[in-house]
Amino acid sequence: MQKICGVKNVEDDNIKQMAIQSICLFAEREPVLFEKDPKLLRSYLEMVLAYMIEVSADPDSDWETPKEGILI
Amino acid sequence: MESREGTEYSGERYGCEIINRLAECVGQQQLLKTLAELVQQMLASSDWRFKYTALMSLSQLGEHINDLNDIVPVAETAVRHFKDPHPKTRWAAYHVIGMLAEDCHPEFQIRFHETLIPTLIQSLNEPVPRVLCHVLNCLSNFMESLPEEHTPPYIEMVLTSIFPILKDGKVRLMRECSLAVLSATAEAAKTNFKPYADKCVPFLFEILKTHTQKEQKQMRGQAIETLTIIGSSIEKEAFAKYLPDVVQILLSIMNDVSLDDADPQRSYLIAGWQRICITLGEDFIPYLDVILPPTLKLVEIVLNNAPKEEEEISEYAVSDDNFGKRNRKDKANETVRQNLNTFDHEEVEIAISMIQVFVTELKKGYIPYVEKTTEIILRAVSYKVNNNIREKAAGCLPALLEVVKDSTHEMKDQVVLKLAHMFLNSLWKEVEKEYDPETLIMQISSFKNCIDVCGRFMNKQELEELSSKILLLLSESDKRKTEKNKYKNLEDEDDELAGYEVDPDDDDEEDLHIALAELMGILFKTHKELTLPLAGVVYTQILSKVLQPGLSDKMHKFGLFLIDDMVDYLGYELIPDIWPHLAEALIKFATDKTAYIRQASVFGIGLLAQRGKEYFKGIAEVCVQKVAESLKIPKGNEVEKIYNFSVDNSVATLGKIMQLHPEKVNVPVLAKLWFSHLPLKADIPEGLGQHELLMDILLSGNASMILGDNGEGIGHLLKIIAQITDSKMSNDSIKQKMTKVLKGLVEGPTQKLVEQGVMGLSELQKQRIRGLLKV
Repeated sequence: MQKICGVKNVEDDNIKQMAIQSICLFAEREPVLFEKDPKLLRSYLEMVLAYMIEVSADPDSDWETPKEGILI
Repeated sequence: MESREGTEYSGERYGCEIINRLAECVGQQQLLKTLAELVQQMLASSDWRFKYTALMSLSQLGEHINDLNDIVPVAETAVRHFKDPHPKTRWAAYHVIGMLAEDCHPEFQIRFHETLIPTLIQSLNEPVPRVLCHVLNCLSNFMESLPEEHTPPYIEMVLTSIFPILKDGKVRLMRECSLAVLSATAEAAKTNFKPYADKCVPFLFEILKTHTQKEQKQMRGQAIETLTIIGSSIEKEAFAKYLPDVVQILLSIMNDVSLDDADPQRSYLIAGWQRICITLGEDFIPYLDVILPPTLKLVEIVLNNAPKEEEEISEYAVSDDNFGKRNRKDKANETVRQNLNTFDHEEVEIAISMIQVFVTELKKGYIPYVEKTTEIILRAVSYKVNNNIREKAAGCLPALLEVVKDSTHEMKDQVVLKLAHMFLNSLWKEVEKEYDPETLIMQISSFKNCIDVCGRFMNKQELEELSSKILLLLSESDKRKTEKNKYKNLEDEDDELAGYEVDPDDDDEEDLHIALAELMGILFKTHKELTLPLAGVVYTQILSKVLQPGLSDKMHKFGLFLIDDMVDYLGYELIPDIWPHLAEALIKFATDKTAYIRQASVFGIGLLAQRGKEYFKGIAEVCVQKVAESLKIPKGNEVEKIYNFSVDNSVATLGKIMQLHPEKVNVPVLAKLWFSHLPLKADIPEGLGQHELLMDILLSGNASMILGDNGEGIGHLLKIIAQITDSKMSNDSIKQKMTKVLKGLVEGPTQKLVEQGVMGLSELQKQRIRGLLKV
C-alpha cells in the first residue's frame, strides 16, 4: 500500500486514497498492532502526510476571493 | 470548524479524516507523540505545503486530547503562524485554533481568552478575503463557547471590530461570517448582551429588509438566527419591545419560504421559532394560533398526497442512501414499503420536530392543540412512504401524553388513559409491520417512553397480552438472526481466512433486543408485581439462553440490562427466589473481557448493594473482590470513553458498597483502593455521586482514612479537586464542600503538604485551587 501511495505518477487520486483507506481500516480492526509498533504508526502517518502535501494546491484567485452569488 | 467556505480540497480533508480516525482507534498518547515529531520537522521546512499540512494535521487532535496541558503547545504553534507570509499557512493556523475552540471548549477558552481574542481581533486586518473569513470563523467558534462570566470585556471590542465588515465587507462571505461572530457573541454573553441589543437589533431588521435577492437568503437566514439568539440571551422582558416586529418578519418569511423548496432560510426559521418558544415559555402560546395551523397544514398536505402503492415514484423523489436495504415488504398486507425522501418529506420532518419542541416546552399550554396535533401525528406514525417521518412522529407521542398529564383538565386521568391506549395500539401496529430496524427501535423507545409518562395504567390481562407480544417479537427477531447468520457465516469464513477477526456485534437484531430489554425494564419499573410472570419468563427462558458463554457481547449486554432492571425495580422483596441467580450472573460478568459488559455488570452489583439489603451482606466480600479485579483489566481495543465508563462504574460500585455495607468489608483497604481511582472521568451521574461522597467522608472526621495518617494522600486529593472543579463532574454542592475541605487543610498542620501538592499541578489546576480558596 505504501508503495502505491509513494508512486508519483499515479494520476487517479482515488487509488492513493484507497491505499490509505485500506491501512486505516486495518488499524481500526487491529489497533494493538499500531500501538505496539511505533515504527509502523510513524510510517503510516508519514504516508498520510506525504499524500496531504502532494495534493495541497497553490491558492488561486478563486480561493483567495470567494465568488459572489454562489452558495456553497 | 464549519466549512461553509468549502476551501478544503478533498484530498486534504481526506488526510485529516484519516488522522482523526487513527487517533480514535490507536489512542491519543501514542499518536500525539509520533505526530508531534513529524510536525516539528515539517514546520521547519521552507515549503508552505509542509507547514500547511503540519498545521492541518494538528487541527484534528483537539477532540482526542483530555489534558489541556497537551493542547498548549499545539495552540502556541498555531499562533506563531498567524503572520506567516503564505495565506494557506495562515488559513491553516486559524483553522487549528478554530477547531481547538470547538473541540476543547470551554477549557480552551478559559485558558486563552486574554491572549487569543485580542490577537484574533488584530488579525481582522488580514488582506486575503478567504483568510479573513477564516479569522472570523475562528473568532466565532471561540466566542460561541466562551463562558458567560468571561464575555463582558470583549463584547464591545468584538462588535466594534466586526460591524465595519458586516456593513461594508467586500465579499458576501465576509459579511456572513461576521454575522456568525455577532450571533456567537450574543449567545455566549447571555444577559450581558442587553446593553448592546439596541445597537444590533435594528441593524438586523435592516438586513432582513434590504437583503431580498435569492443569493442573499443565507444572510437573511443568519439574521433570523442572530435575532432569535439575541432574544434567548437577553431574556423575554428585554426582548419584548422587539418581539412584535420579529414575529411579523418571521411570519412573512415563513409564507415566502414555502414557495421555494431549497431555501436555506427554512431551517433558520424553524430553529428561530423554537428559540422564541423556549425564550417566551407560556407567553408564546398566543402565537401558536398563527404559527401552528400552517405547520400542521404542511404536514397534512404531504400525508394526503402520499403516493398510492401502485403509483410510480415521481422524478423529484430522492431515494434513501440505503434504498436497497429499506425496500421491505409490509408484512401485514404484503405490499412493498419504499422509503422515499423528497424535499416535502424533509420539510415535514423538520415541521414535526418543531411541533415536538412546542409540545415539550409549552406543556399544558399546548392543550388546545392536542386533539388536532394527535390526529395528524398519529397519521404520520403510520406514514408508509418515509421512515424518518414515522420516527419523528413516534417521538412526539410521549410529549403529547405529558401535556395532558400536566394539564388541569378535570377528566385528565381518563383522557391520559384513553390516549395512552390509542398511542400504544397505533405504535404496536407499526412495530409489527416495521422492517426498518432503526425506525423499529425508535418506535419501541417511544412506546417505552409513553409507558414511563403514564406510570402504572395497565391491568393484569393487558400486561400479560403486552408481555406475550414482546416475547413474540423477541422470538421473531431470534429467528431472523439465525436466518441471517446462516448467510453471514459463509462471509465470515472468508474474512477469517483473510485474517480478520469477525465482528459478532454487527447486528441490528441485537440492538432491537436491547431496545426490548429497556421496554421490559420500564414495565418492571411501572407495574412492579404485575410483571412477575414476565420476570419469570425472562429468568427461565431468556437469561439462561442469552448469557451463555459463546454468544455475542450484545446478547450478554441484553441479558445484563434485564437483570439490572429486575434488581433495580423489582428488588429482593418481589423476586427472592431468583435473586441469588441474578447476583451470580452479575458477579460472573464483572471481569468480562469487554468493557461495556463489565460496566453493565458492576453497575448491577452496585444495585445489588442498594436493593439487596440483608442478602448482600453474604456476598459483599466476593463482590468487592470481583469489582476490584475488574479495575485491573487494562484498556483493550475499545474506545477510551467506553473503557472509562466501565472503570467509573467499578469505582462507583466500590463506593456504594463501602457506604452501604461498611460492617461487611475492610473499609480502610477499600477506601484506599476507591480513592486511588478517583476522579471519575466519563459517567457524570456516578461521578457526581462519588465526588460528593469523597467530600462527605473528608468532612465527617474520617479524613485520615482517605488521606493517610501523615497526609500522604493530599497530593492526589488536590489533583482530584483541580480536575473536577468547574467541570461536569462537579456541581455547586460539591464545590462548596471542596472549598471547605481545602480551607480546612490549608488552615491546619497540613498546610505545607498542600503547598507541596499544589506545586505539582499545572497552571490551570493551580488557578482552580486558588479560585476555590478565594471563595
